[in-house]
Amino acid sequence: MENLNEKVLVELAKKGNNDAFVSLLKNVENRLYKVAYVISPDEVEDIIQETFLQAYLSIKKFKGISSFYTWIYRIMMNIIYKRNRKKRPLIKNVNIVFQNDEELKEKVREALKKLHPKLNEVITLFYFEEYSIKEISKILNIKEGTVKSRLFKGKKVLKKFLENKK
Amino acid sequence: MENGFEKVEYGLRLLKKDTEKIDKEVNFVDKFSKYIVKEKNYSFKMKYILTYTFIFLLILNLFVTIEKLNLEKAKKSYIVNFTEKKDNLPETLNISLNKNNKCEKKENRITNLKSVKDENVSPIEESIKFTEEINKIIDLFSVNLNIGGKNVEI
Repeated sequence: MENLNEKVLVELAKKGNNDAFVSLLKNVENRLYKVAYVISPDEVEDIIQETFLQAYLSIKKFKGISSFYTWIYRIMMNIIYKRNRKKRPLIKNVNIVFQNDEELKEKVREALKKLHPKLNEVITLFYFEEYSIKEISKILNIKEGTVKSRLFKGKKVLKKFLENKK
Repeated sequence: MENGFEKVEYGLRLLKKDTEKIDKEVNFVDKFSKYIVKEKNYSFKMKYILTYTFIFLLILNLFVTIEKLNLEKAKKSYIVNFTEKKDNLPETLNISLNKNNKCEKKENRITNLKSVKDENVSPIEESIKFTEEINKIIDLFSVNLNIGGKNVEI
């Protein structure tokens, strides 16, 4: 089952073949884990399980335009965003000096959690997965200009988060 | 790092380094596949229960409709019987009327007898009244005399 082409596996999974779905998940599990761990290390297990469940419930809606990884990655980003949307305790303090790298990492992590999924997916694909802008545009099926603008907007929002939060 | 964008990029690179440190093999899929199997069994059970419930309800519904039909039939037959009886009702009424007439005749007879009796009784009463009056007159003329210690009525 694992040797089969992704498209075949997706078609089988859509028809209700659980083994095909499981092998699809095995292919993307580690990559998803790394991204989820970076953004939300405390909730990584919950996020992964929720992502798998959501993907399992909506596999029939998957059109196959993008790769399975991109599709499930977007699901995960939405889950992270929804989980952290309500948590917005922002205290205004513009001039911040971070004591150390750990503190900065924590702030960026917190900001990433609250970033809109569309911006988050571009940021994480560019910085963590190290895809080029061209590759990201192909993966997400959007124009290169859109990727660039989302990258800029994402960083701008992150900057805003860092400036507003102590 | 006074520029905010630089801070952000630096922070993102630090996080990237963290991802490189993660080298442990994760295995969430096996856990999830177990859940899928459980869910499949559960859904099968649910389907099984729902199908049987549906069949039971169908049979129940059939039974109820049959009972309703029977009741309607019975109702119709009762109505027919009732109408038939209704048609026979005038005869019985005549009979009862005759009976009533007979009763009336009897009553008339009794009243007649009573009147006859009354007629017979009235002279006696008159005679009683007469005697009473005579007695009164006698009382008027009666004189009690006490002769030698004895009351003598004259």
